[in-house]
Amino acid sequence: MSVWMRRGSGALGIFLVLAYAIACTPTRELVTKSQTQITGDYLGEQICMSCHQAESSHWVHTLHARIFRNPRNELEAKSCEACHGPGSRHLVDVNDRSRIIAFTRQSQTPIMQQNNQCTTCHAGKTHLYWLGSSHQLNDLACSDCHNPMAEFSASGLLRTAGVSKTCSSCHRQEFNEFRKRSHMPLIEGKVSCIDCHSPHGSVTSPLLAGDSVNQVCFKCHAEKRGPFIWEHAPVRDNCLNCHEPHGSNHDQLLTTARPFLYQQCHTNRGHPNDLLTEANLGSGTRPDPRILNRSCQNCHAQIHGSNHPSGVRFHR
Amino acid sequence: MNAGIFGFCFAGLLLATFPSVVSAEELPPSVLGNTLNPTGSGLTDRVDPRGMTLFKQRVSRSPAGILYDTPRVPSIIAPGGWTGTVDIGVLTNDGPEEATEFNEYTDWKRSALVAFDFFRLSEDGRGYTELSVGAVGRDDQYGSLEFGSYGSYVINVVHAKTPHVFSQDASAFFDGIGSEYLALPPGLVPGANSSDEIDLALTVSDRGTLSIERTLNGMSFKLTPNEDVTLFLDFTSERQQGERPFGGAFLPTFYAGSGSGGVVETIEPVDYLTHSLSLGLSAVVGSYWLNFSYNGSLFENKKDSLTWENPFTNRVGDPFTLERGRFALYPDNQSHNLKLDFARSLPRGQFTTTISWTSMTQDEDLLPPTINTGQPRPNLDLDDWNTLDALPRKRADAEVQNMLVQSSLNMVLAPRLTFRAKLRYQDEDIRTDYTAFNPSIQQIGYVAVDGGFGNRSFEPGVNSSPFQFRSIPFDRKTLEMTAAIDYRPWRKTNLGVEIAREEVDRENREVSSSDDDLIRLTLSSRRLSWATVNLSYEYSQRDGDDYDPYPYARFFTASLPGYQSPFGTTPPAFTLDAMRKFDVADREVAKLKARVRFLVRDDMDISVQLQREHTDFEADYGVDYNDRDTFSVDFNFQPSPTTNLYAFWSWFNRASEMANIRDTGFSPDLSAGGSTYPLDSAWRESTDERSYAYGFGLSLHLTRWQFSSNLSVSDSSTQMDYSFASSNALAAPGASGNPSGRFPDIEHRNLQWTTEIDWYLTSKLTLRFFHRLDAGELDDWHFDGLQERIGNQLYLGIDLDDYEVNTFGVSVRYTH
Repeated sequence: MSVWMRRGSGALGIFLVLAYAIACTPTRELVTKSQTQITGDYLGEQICMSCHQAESSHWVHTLHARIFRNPRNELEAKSCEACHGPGSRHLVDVNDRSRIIAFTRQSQTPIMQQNNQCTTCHAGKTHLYWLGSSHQLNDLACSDCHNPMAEFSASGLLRTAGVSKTCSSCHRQEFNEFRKRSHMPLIEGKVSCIDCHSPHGSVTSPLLAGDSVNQVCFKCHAEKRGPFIWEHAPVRDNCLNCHEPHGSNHDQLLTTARPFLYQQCHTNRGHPNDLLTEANLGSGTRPDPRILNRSCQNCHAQIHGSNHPSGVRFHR
Repeated sequence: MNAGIFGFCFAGLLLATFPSVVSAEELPPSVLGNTLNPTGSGLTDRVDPRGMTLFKQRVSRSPAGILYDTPRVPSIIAPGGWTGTVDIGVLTNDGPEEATEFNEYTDWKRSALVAFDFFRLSEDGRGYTELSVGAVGRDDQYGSLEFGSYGSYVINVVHAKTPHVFSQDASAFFDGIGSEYLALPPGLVPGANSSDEIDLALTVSDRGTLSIERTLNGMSFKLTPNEDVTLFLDFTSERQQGERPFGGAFLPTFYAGSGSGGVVETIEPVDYLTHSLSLGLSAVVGSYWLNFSYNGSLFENKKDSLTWENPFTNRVGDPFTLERGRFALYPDNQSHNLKLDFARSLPRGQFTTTISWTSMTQDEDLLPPTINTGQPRPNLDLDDWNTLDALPRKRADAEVQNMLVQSSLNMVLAPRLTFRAKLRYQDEDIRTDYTAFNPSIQQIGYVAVDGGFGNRSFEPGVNSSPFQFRSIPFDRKTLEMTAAIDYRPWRKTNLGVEIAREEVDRENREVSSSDDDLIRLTLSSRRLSWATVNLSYEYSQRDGDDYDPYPYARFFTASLPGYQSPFGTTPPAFTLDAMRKFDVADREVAKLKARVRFLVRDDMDISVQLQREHTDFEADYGVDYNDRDTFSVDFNFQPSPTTNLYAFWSWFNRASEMANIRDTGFSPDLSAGGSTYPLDSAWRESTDERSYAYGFGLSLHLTRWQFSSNLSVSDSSTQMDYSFASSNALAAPGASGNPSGRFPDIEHRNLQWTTEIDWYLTSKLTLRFFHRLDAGELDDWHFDGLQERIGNQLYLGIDLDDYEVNTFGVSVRYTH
């Protein structure tokens, strides 16, 4: 480890301690507090329902409603007003959107405050890394993905019928990757985005549900975890060196076609660096196993690592 | 761990004065669904014509401007009541059963269609029981049983099956497919058959399906003793069984003379069992949050090895007969992870620290270096190597440890100004140390391809090319530092600037240390009433130490006392010194992302996404550059709660170039243009890949009918061109005809068009009609002219099938 690295890490460690101390000092201007506090009296669910019958008919079947029917604390007992705040000022002028906490585009409630309403109960757990996450930095509200007013999804009170459908509203390109020749079985309903990603924040970019890319992959591909007595460096380093995560126009979600995938790195003396052409295809004049079918892996079959005493070059 | 890192960790622990929760990445599956219900959502899908509210004529939007879906007609469930839906029908299709892609992850065989939902609320309204089951065919199914008490505990039991078909028309040449021993069919003998004899056996061999089926069973338990503490335990057990295509090599046919060598596409038996356990707790105590979890995974492969008999003659005229080869299949392994997340909410922000430690171990019994007997070379007697006595140790004793420590601070400097800082340290420590050494004959080395190729025994004082004899620990330490400022110049607008440095120290890689510096600018705004804008641009530059093309020297025999090269003390060239491996080489990356959602009308929006990514390695050999560009447009129109029309179109392009030099000489010279890698053997390859995806959908919900139709098309094409300095670059100079400079394009097209009509016979009874058109085409030059036997190469003869299949379904759905 370089001197720079040692000094840098030490300095940043000290900095964090100092910054922590500064951050502990009270201030009147807190971003974590509401910028437009809703004040007033709590009216109770019956008053709300007297106008919002349709909303109520959907909401009463949601997980939230059922938990609020058996409240564990004072806040949960407030039912609608647990999230929307006290309703008395709203009753005075129902057209003034600033008088109630709402969670839609038309709402006058700042995103930070909207989200704070949710984190009042949903603090910690997977939301620990929400602050600073790419979703938070893009000013996403909880209600951009969730709609607790009705039961759209099997779990998670999502805005649509499922996780992947919800994500695809913004991540269309990634969703389309799953239609390619080789792909993870997402459109077939066997995996969803949150098998690999943690949308509420993560210690690993891009919002990965694991400490590293490989640790995410190993959750379903435990056989490739090894470790092996003969390791392949880029495999141990990062599965994405060779594989696309969502889908690919090549076999096995590979980033490009074999043998060129391997020839991007290998030019060891011997056979790895020969230029193979269409003449070497099965339909050509000189078929060559280095380009047919599984290409290099026809022979180097254990490319993820070998546990055979003679598997140095992944032949066994 | 050095003092700086230690200080940082200590600071993190010091600040973590305790109390609080778990991050526990959830165990798969995150969704229980199947092809006909990919979201696993409930079966009651009658849309409420009132919409969400009676106060608005138009559908509401989320803060980012996304139109909300219309809720379904709510089921009325009073305490003590229940609701349930059963959907029973049949599926049939007119498709070719061997169309692999059509059946890849599902089971479209003509069969019953079953789905069942049940929900019951207890008398006191606290408890509930929920059952959900769905199946398409026998292999594409899911089931879930959950019961619990709201706000108190949840117990969930799940079952899921996922098929994965590789081919439905593969040659079943060998006997014993699915077992650990692939025997030649009757009439053939290992290691000595003529081409005619093999062809005769191929003509009478069956063809069959190669597939794997994943069956997962699991249970989870979550206890919430109070609103601040959650305890959880997840356990899953997944079995994977089946067969998949695999490789197999003896003497490479391109090194062998006519009629010699052997490449055999074998069939790997798969019988995996993976137990996963995740348990821990989450707690919130005042301003402290804590997660603590243990995640364990035990993987068992019930097939330890794969042996196959060699149908070919390894060397014509060689008295040694190479009868079989043997693979060591994926070994049993285990992983244990302990993770602690701590956060403290501060008056001005939040401090967060994560400490995670993972140990991955594997201690499988090792196989002997070869399965064969005989003497392929004068100085190689396989009887010295086909025994466990030929091993330096009997078990693998492999281990990797991974440590992650990360601290971050989010702090409000002023009402509109936020500061973020992050420090992340990750250490991957590979503790495996294996030396290929035969103690019985005191020789370093191994047996290449079970005796089929050359000699890999080290003999001091004898001229030889060096070979790897010892495992290489690719340890890696990464330190990442990030600082960022976010500023809100106006309400609903956020500007951000982030700088980051990632320093990586690698053991035994071409670049031992590198710095990756990054700057990122972001803008997100909902300020405009008619649009939501998200923009980001980032630029990063990785600079490393001097590139060492041969960092593995001490793991190769050239490092051993007594090594003798044909060139005196200098070993022959190992690789080209100008080659740059892209995963460690210097590079520049520029990324631009733009996402704008235009709110065209109250009930309509158009979302446009653009992304451009340029990675420049500036390498003479290896990957030169890699560009990725995407553009997509989404249209969504919801004129009423009961009507939705959408369409999308997207384009993806990837362009890259790489270069290499064919070695045509034998010398210690590593340089480009030298005697080993002359420039007239240089070549380049370029890839230009374009993909389009487009589609539309319409759903219409009437009083007695519901109609939906969804079309999606994917069209991808990869063009690969090459150029070369002279025919010396070619694999077979003089025998390759006149290369055109371009491969046939790799093309894939896929269409799915689903139409469903639900006819509401009564308020509880629905008759459903379903039609789906699936069509696909695939052309890939890897399979062009691929016959089952080509010279001394044997393949499974897998064809790429075009298909067009109509699937029809009818079912009756009853809802209580």
